[in-house]
Amino acid sequence: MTTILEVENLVKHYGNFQAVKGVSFTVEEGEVFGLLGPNGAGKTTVISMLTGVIPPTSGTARIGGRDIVREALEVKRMIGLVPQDLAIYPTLSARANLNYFGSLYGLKGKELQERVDDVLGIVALTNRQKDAVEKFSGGMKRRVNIAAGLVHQPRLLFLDEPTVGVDPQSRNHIFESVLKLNRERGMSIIYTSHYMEEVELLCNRVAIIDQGQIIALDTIKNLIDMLGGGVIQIGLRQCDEALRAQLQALPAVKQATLLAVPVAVPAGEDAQPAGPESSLVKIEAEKGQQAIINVIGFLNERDIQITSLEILEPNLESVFLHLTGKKLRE
Amino acid sequence: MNIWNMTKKDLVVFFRDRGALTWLFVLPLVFIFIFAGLGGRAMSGDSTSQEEKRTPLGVVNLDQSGATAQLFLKALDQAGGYRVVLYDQQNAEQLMNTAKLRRYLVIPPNFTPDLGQAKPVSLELIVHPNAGEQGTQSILQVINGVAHDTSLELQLLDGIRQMGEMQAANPQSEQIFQAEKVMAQAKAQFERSRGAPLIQVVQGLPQEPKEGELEQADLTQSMVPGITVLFVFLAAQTVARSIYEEKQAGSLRRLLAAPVRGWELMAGKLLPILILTLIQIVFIFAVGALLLPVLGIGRLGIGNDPLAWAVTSILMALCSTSLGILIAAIAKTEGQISGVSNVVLWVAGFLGGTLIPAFLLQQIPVLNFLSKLTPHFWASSAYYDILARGKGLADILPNLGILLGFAAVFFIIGQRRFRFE
Repeated sequence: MTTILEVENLVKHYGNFQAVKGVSFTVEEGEVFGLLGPNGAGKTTVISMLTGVIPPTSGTARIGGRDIVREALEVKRMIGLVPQDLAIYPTLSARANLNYFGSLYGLKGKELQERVDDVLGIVALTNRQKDAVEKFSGGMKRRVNIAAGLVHQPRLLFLDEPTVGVDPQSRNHIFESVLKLNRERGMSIIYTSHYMEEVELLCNRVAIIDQGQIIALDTIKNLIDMLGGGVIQIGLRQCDEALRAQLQALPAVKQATLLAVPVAVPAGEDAQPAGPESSLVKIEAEKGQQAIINVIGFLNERDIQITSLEILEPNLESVFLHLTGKKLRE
Repeated sequence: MNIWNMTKKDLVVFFRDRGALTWLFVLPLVFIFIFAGLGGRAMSGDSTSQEEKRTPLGVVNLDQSGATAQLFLKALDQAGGYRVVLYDQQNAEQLMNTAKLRRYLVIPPNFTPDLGQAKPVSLELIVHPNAGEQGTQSILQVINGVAHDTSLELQLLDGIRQMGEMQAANPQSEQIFQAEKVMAQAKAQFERSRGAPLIQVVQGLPQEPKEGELEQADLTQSMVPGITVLFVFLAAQTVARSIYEEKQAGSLRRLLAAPVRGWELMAGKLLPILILTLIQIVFIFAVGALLLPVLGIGRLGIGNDPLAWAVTSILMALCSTSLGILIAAIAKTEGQISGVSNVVLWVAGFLGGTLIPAFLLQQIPVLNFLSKLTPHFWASSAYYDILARGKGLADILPNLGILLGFAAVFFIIGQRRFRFE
């Protein structure tokens, strides 16, 4: 496999604030690579540096063997960007938008029209191509936004949170489009999201990014295997270091970690608050079911009140929690 | 190619925006009618009426009882093109000092008696420093023509009078009225009239205003070029806002990720507003030239050199839109764009003589210095020279060069300083 993207120790500072603290990874040709992290983790900053929107403070990156700073124009001809914002012109039709963005890559005449026809087909908007984008639903606008990044047939496509604010039907359209581009056309894709379900569905490998650093990078399977027998999160009325050590010593328990007391959880979130006077303990199990039995039995014997109990499924969300002690959408 | 693609797109987006179209056409119309209406004869200073289409020519006749002076004034009034308007000397000086009278002719008190004795006399055309050179030359031509005719007439009459006196002194001579002698005498008088005319016209400057007498601007003459410049520099804010909106919408991120060079991107944002500004200028002048005369308000001309007007308009619009690039690079928020633009528009506009005529500001040394640091000064003075003084391209080349320099500096600094973050 050929490497399409090599990133080495990429750093971005804004004054004293370090938005990206030395990120390194590679992406192979034909791969769908996920950048997973909560809002503000630095995903968009990494994408912005790789696409030439902002210069890196230090570090290097090569796309198709070309340096993103020294050979910026050549690199930009190889890549496509679908930004998080709806970077299209609402008063223009879908076709006019695509014609415009295609023309910036030197496309013209019949070739341009064929490419526009092609991408309109990919995002399933051929029958609405002449309508002004402002008349479209949010999901349709997102699809035009994606099409605008595809019209010049880039080798490497950056999709930065492409499903934000999209209805389920349009989200499915977008997933289908991404998979089709990758499988049928061999397009390499870097997909950023804070939705772990999307990354699990679409990506071969994932880099988990938090506070400007990559904290894990592997295939989804390998990342989930890190959890071993699963993760249990227990809210206790009281917990100190001694109790944590006792829990960790229980059979089938790999590790017990005392987490910070959660102060508040926004309405609608699926997490259960442990209560203002509670402590949150994360139990990493070697054997999930056995660990639960042992932990609950131990706490009951000592009459320690359990205020919440959450058994985390083995997925990227759990991996993120395991790695950072916080949830992806916090 | 990318610049033109971006320009086409921005123009299409613009022309689909009804609010923006209002900005393009309605605002200039309001502007024209307000300022044209204020001045009455504001636009070109040559307001016309059905009854009298001739340009008024001020005359101070210090030889009011002299018959020859009356004959001269009658001839001047009938020469065509100019209508004699009499002033007393004090009134004329006052009007000249307040720039309400640009030129007036002074007939000296000894005009009739001196000419009666075949003594040469001088007429003085007093010209305000800000008066158009072309207009002055045109008036001088007419006065000189009338003066020449009057000189010839007087000198021929004088020749005939001399022959009559010779006849009277030699009553016995019969040969004195021979045709050859009469013709030779007439020819000699004609040549003398050409070589040493009895009436000469000299050009003079007005007297210094008396102490404490504040010189006032002729608003009707200076307002329109100044306000037009002020209006054109509004385009700077439009360019800055256009870039800011592109940044806010996220489309600038996509443009920066496309194979478009930084200067191409900025030029692509500049050019559509430049074109729209030029359309505005043409619209303002077209309405001023075609509609205002119909409404009887006046007429907005483009001076005597359309090329000078066109080049000035283009460079002024280029300077303004380049300033917009600089503002976009400096200002990070919409509020900052408004703030910086307002400073540029009003402070630099004021210093540059768009609101108050530059010659008034030039009386204060600090303001005189500061005004020359603004592009508005060079633009408004170029417009003023073309529209009010009838000057041509060659006369305003320094102004054009400075405007081009300002545009280049604004664009280069703006493009280099611009950051997406």
